[in-house]
Parts: sequence; C-alpha cells; structure tokens
Amino acid sequence: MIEVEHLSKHYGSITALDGMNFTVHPGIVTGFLGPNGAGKSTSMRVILGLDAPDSGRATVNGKDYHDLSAPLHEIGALLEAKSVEGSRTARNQLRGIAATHGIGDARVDEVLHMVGLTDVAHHRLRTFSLGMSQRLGIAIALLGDPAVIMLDEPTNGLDPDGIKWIRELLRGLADEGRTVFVSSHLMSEMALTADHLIVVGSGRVLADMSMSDFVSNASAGSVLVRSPQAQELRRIIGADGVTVTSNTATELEVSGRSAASIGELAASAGLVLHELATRSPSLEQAFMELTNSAVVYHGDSGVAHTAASTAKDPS
Amino acid sequence: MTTLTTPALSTSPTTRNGVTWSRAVRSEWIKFWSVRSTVWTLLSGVLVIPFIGMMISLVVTGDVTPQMDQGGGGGPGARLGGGSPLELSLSAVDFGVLIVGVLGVLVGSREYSTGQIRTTLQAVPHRLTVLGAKALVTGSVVLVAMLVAVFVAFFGGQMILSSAGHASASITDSGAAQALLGAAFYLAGVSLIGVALGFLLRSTAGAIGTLVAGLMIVPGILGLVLPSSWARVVDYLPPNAADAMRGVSNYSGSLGAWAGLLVFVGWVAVLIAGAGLVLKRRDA
Repeated sequence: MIEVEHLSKHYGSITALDGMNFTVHPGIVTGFLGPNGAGKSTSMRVILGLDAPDSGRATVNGKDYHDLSAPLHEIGALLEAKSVEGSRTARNQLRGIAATHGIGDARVDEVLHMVGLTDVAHHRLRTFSLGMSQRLGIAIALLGDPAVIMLDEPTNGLDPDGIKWIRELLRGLADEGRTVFVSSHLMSEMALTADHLIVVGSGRVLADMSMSDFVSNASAGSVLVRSPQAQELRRIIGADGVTVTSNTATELEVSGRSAASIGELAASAGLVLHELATRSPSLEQAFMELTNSAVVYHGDSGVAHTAASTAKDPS
Repeated sequence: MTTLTTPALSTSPTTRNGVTWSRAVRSEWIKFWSVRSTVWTLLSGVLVIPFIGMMISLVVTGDVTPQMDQGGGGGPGARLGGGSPLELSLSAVDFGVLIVGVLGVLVGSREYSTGQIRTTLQAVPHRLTVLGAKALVTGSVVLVAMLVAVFVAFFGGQMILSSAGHASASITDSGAAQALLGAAFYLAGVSLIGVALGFLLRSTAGAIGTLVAGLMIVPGILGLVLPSSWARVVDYLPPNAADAMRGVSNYSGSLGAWAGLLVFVGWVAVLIAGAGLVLKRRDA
C-alpha cells in the first residue's frame, strides 16, 4: 500500500507536484499515467524518500520511507535503469545492494534467473542494452521479495517479448496480493496491464478510477451531426444530460443522446440531415483529452485545443 | 537474450533482516572492490609511491641518471637535493596525495554522476549510515594500502642507498616511525577529504579541482600573500598541519607533531560532518 497525501514540490519556479493525492492498493496493478513532466517520477522519488516534498506526506505500508528498517523487504522500486556504474558486473551490482539487508548470494542468483540475466551475470553493466538494464532494475526491485513493487516506465527499451514478459510479471505479482504501481506515458501500454488508473498532469491527479470505468467513460463518446438546419435541430434535441457544442453553423457535436434518437427526432420534425455519426474515441484520445489541458510541453503541430480553464499559466 | 523464463514468483522463504551498520559497511566494501576506477586508482597509489621512492634513491646513488638538467626538475623529485635518506624514499607521498584524493572523490561523487546514489539510498534510507560506511571502507582500505606503500618505499629505498654505500636510515631512527605512520595517516585522511568533497560537490571534476586547490595551491599562495603577522594561519591548513604531524624536516611552522595531528583530524572531521549535513538536507 502506498499513500500519497497532498504532495507539493517546487524546483525553483517549476511546480513539479501540485497537491498530488492518491492511494495505491494491494492485489491489483495500478497504472500511473501522464505525459512527461506530469510529476510521475517526482512522486516516486518522494515516496522513496529521495526528494523531500515542500508539503504533504507519502507513506509505504503506513510508514515514512525513512522509518522503514528493512526497505527492500517492503518496497522494490525501479527508477532509472541506466543509473548504474558501468564497470560493475550485474551480479556484483545485486550483491552490493543485497548486502545491505543481509540477503545472500543464492537470492541474487535467483532474481537474476527470474529476469533472464543469468547468462550475462558477469558482464559489465556498460555493455547492457536499455532492455537488459530494465530487467536488472526489476531484479533489484524483486530482491527483497517485497509486498510493494513500484516501477517507473519499465517497458522503455524493451522488445515486444520483453513487454509481454513484464505484463505477465506484473499480473503475477498483483495476483499474489502485492501492490503493483507502474508508470507510463502510453495509454496503450496501460490498457493492457492496469486494473486501476491514476492519470496525472501538471503535478495533480486528473483521474483516479478503475480501468473499466475509464473505458466505459471513454466509449460513451459523442455523435457528430451535420445539417443545414443545425440550429433548429439543436433546440429539439436539447434535454437534461445532453450537451451540444457546435464549431460551425451546420455542425453539432452531441453527447448524452444516441445517434438513433437524434435521427428519429430530426425525422419527426422534418429536418434534413447530411451526416449522423457516432464517434467513440480511443482510450488514447480519452487520455489525451484528459491530460491536454494540463500538459506543460505542447507540441506546436498539435491541434489548437482551447486549454481548459483549469490549466495553470506556465511561468 | 530472447529466452525469458516465466517468472517464478513464489520464492524460497528468505529471512527478513533489516539494515544495520555492519551490513551497510559490507555493501560498501563489495561496491568499492567491484568498480574498476577505485581499484585501479588504489593500485596505482600502492605501486607509484614505492616506485618513485626507489627511483629517486637510484638517482642519488648514481645508478640512474636523470635526463633533465638540474634546473628543470619540478614534480615529485623537487625535494631531491636536500632530503634526508628517510625523506628521499618517501618523496612520492606528495604525489600519492593526488592519487588517494582522487580515489576518495570518486567514492563520493561517482554515484551522483551515474545516479547509482538513488539505488544506494533506497536500500539504506539513513543517509549518514551511507556516508559513514563509505568513509570507513575508503579510509581503512587506503590506510592499510598506504602503510604497505610507504614501508615498501622506505625499506626498498634504504636498501638501495646502503648497498651503494650511501648514508641510509633505519626504522629505529628517531622520527622514522613518525614519518612513515604519519605519511600513511595523512594519505588516508586525504582520501576522506576527497570523499567529503565528492559528496559536497557531487561532481568529480569540481571535487578534484577543489582538492588540488585546497591541498596544493591555496597553502602556497597564502604563504606568499599573507602579511607575516598572519603567517600562522597557514600552519592550520591541512597539508601544513600534516607536515607538522609527519615531522617533515623542512617544516618551518609553529605546530608540534600532536597539534598537527589534531588540526589535520579536525579538518577531516569538519569536512565529513559538512558532507553529512548536505547529504541529509539535499534531495538525492
């Protein structure tokens, strides 16, 4: 169990965390999803006691990280896989870390086997690909057989085989009742792995819901209507729970009413329709729409979304 | 690398031990010896100090003639002219200072430049334990290695001198033990200053620069720049205090051997304490 309570953190004038607040529960895979710069890694560093928040608190199994007497047995984490000293061998890297908790070499060899690095155990880390480094990082996380696993972008640099392997690993860990918390900036990745989603942007939680809720919310979608009599149609279809927006005089975007219902209303009023189409956005689009207002680094080529009023002035 | 085992998650029951001071030291011990740069730097110190000491003894006996003319000699043999047989064989200690200083800096700063420090602090959240364990491992390894180096340098050098019929020193001579133990202790202390600077500055280049400035450049410049009434300030700088501690023959300062030891230990302690404070306060 990881609890994050109202974390705020500034680096100079940059706000990294702006009231980050969430709980990660055991027995499921929780996806930590957000664009780059949303505060995912900073949150993880605060959880691990590496960075101190300006305010707020993070606990692992109910305790501040600094109060854990055997942290590797409580939480195994992978932050940056390439943050290692290149001339050390994989096995020695694990032995050095294991020694802090009196974990023996047998367990070191066991986790090397689990992640498929036995053959390269005596190779120097500078010869490792990013994918191999990710697997070593996962071996480090598993070393203490912890109840909580936290991985920052573990699929970076992995080939499809490796990604599938991670997915199965995370699923297996969660099924054993462990808390599994894994970050990504790719919705497609999370859709296949996570049971629960915490979506963040600009240092805040934008959505905290089960994957199935996120899917059903996203697939509700909207209906696009083109009609030369759009404004008359608009009056007819309006009702409680129905929102209608229009970008041009002949086009409506309707949510809260099905295409069938709109078609029937138009027919009974004798209105002409040129187009009637249900648009169900992909999960990726739903995620993008959710985070777009909060994204700090907009690409110039993107559609000029009107930033939601909640977006902070980036200064 | 495409063969991946299906994860065998249920593992043999491991006994769950917590982090202790001795386990942290054991971890730093493994880390010290499993990285090339530290091992090679240490080894170069162990080899260079006796090697240069013996070479200079050979030069004095005339078995080896230096290529450069008398005026051009800087470097480790600069004291060659006036040194006693004892000091001739320990000529390379001043050069060894650079080597063990760099070694200490590497221990302190390298984990910051690679990012390894975050893994280290995840395993041992109590940061002063990490600093203490690193300092203990580095300081004691360097002390033992440098004891070996200076004793080999001394006995090798004296053997060369006496076999050529030159005046030589004995370990029982007054000041010999002080010079040898003092040199090894000084070198170990400098490695700790390096560790502290590595943690304080988190940059290998910056820490090495500061170390060289603090130990070699600043004492010289201050000696020239300060008015004579302030001359005693220079006595309290680390290398000058160490000279008093070692009983260096051309020492012209005001500190006695024990006072020198105390001042030098004070410098090491203050710098390590400063490193601890910064380590505790700053984000990793």
